[in-house]
Amino acid sequence: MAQPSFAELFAAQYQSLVRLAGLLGADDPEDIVQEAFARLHSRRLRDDGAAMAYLRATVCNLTRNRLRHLRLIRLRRPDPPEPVRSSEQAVLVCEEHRELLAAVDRLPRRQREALVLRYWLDLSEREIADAMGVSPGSVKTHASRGLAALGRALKEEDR
Amino acid sequence: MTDLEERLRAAFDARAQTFETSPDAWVRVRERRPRRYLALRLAAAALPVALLAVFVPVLLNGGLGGNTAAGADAIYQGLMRGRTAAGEQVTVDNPTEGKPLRLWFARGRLGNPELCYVLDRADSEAFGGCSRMPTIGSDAWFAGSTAREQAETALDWGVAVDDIGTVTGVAGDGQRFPGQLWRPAGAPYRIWTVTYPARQPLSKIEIADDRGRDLGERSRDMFAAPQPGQALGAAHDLPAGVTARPFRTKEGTELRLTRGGAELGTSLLGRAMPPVDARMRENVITGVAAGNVSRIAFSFEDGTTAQVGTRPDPWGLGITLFAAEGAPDNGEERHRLVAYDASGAEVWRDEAGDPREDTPPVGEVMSLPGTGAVGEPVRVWFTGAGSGATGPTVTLCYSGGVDPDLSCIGGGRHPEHFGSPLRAVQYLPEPGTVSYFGAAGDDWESVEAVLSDGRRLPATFRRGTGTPAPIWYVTIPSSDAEVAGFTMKRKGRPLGLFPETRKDCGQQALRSDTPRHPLPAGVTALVSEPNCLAFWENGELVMGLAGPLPGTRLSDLLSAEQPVTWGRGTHTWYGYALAGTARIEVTSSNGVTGTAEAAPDPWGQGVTLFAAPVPEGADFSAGMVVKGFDAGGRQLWQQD
Repeated sequence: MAQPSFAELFAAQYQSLVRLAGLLGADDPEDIVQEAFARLHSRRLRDDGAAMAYLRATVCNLTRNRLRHLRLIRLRRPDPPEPVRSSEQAVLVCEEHRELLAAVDRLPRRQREALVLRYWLDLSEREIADAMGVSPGSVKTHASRGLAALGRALKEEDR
Repeated sequence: MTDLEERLRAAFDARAQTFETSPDAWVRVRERRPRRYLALRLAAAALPVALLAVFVPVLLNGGLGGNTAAGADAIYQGLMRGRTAAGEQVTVDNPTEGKPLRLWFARGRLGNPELCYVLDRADSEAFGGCSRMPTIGSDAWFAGSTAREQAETALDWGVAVDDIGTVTGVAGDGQRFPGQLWRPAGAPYRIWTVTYPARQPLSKIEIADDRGRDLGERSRDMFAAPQPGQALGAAHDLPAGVTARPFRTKEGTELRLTRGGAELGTSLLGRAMPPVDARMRENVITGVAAGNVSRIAFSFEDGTTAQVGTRPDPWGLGITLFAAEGAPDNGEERHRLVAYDASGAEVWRDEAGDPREDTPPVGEVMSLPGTGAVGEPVRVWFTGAGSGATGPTVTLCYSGGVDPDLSCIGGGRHPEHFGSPLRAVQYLPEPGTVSYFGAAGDDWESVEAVLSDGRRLPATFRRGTGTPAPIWYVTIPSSDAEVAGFTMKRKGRPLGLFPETRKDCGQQALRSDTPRHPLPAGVTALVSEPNCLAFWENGELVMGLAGPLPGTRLSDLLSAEQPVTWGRGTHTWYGYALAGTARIEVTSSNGVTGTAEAAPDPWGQGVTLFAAPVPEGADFSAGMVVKGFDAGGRQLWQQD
């Protein structure tokens, strides 16, 4: 039986996926990744590669759904803030990245996903498309628009 | 790569490092899995049983009606083989089937509490099973459902801890349905049931305690995940209460198997599928096989064997399906199988591996003293699995205890900091034990477990041959007080205090009679014993903070290096700071500044408490600077 090595996958990828969920803006990255692994465990996929793709896509989906849920809550309540991860963790990010990360956080969701998957996980366009549930062509579009928006934002900051 | 791309990569790397992982992650994942647990076998305890679970076509129109009562009794007897009842049995009217649903608690071979059921059905055979209780952090959860296609009424059931007095089901459309709570004499938990129209499936339950205090809601999502895609045909009933249904998803055609409302597994069909894709849960063997497989022989590590016949799928997918009761409980992962075609020729064989093979040890595998009198001892080892892209890691794994598959936690760094420990539970011999352990640094002088009654139990250090780091461990009788946290002393450093991470901080605080302390911006706070500080924002629970360990104060958790501990709710930020702090100022990453007035806490904890609205436009995601000032406006500290 071509059984994915669930325990090895967990040991090797859990932390990385928590970081992915965090970079995508999840307010509780661990909650999302634990759910992704729980769902993976009840599935039988082609191989470990497929399992990893499934995990990435599930993390993207769950984060997206969670952010959408929080946005709906905000619509029902006045003056809501953006959801963020633990404030104490966030303060640890050094100052030199502050402006850039703030600009990333202001990007549309799809653009942010494309940039995180490409520049942090170093995924191929095909892999990014699988994780985001879009076509490879759309990946190019989202990434290039995201980069352009970041460039503009940083120039504005410099003025 | 452009300069911007380089900067982006560096910025992502820097931010990624700020996301920590908790050591109980594996346990949490296991608790989310739909009542499905891995297990290594307790080789000497179970009797070899030869079972013949040849497929019997389901008879329609009540054809099995005369046999179902006997079937239910036989299933009960089978489930209780190797188990002991824990409390009286509850018999519930099942509106879906018009036949009784039997629910009861039992103790498994390792003494672990389980909830068992036998669901008798109107036009099919009865089925049943037993599932384990989560060991931490839950006070009410879903355990099963009678819901099935074409039923008008359904019933969900679940478990609640002792102080839950009311359970109300809430449908996806918001309609609420009163639940019933059962208190079987001698049982370790309560049982709840909620009956609802099948067209309005529950999405959650609301719970209140015996005195009517609202304890919030618990989602059904973790019990049953949404359908994976577009259905390709009607659901098809298999023996043993298993239902199969194909879906078209982004990956292709997937077959989903469910039982009692819970998902057993989903298989991706097509060329990538192995000739037999078998799933074991509770006492059930089920799955999907290639079209030419007519019989599958299973043999489990405890000596149990089972033969399962297959049937062709009804949707023309060219596969065969199988389901039968007959697996040893929790025998999922450790089995051999041989598949035969109609002529009796072998077409495939496979053996599920030991999950520990995936985490090869680096150095000695150590057994924790005081474990293993019944079942497997708790074995602890370091592994290289997980090292790679982010460099070498110190990953600690264990197997044994009541959930004796393996669990690992990788720190991604050498153990200088005290991370939350790993935890292994043993119920036998009574009263059982809980072992805590973790990787240690070479300069660690002591670790103590702090119990909720204030006692401190010293941990033992051990360095295995060839291991990358020492370990510490402490084993505590289950009858003893709860572990509230730990202390750790490094050479030349002050004693560190580490409250156990508790995600149920708020759940426990809701049960307190102590009035909450009002803070600005609609925030209230309460020290929730034994070790956390709960916060509410306009009456709704928000993230709790680490609280004082028994015998210590909140001020003991603060220092010049850590002058403030704070969190963020939906609209507010709040926390506690060093005594003497009268005003806190935060400057967000996008340059927006907010202030909060701080005042001494009312509990004699030696800190000041604060809360304020999140300033408009503030970005709290990175690069914040927090400063504390005294009443005269003089800056006392800065955290950045």
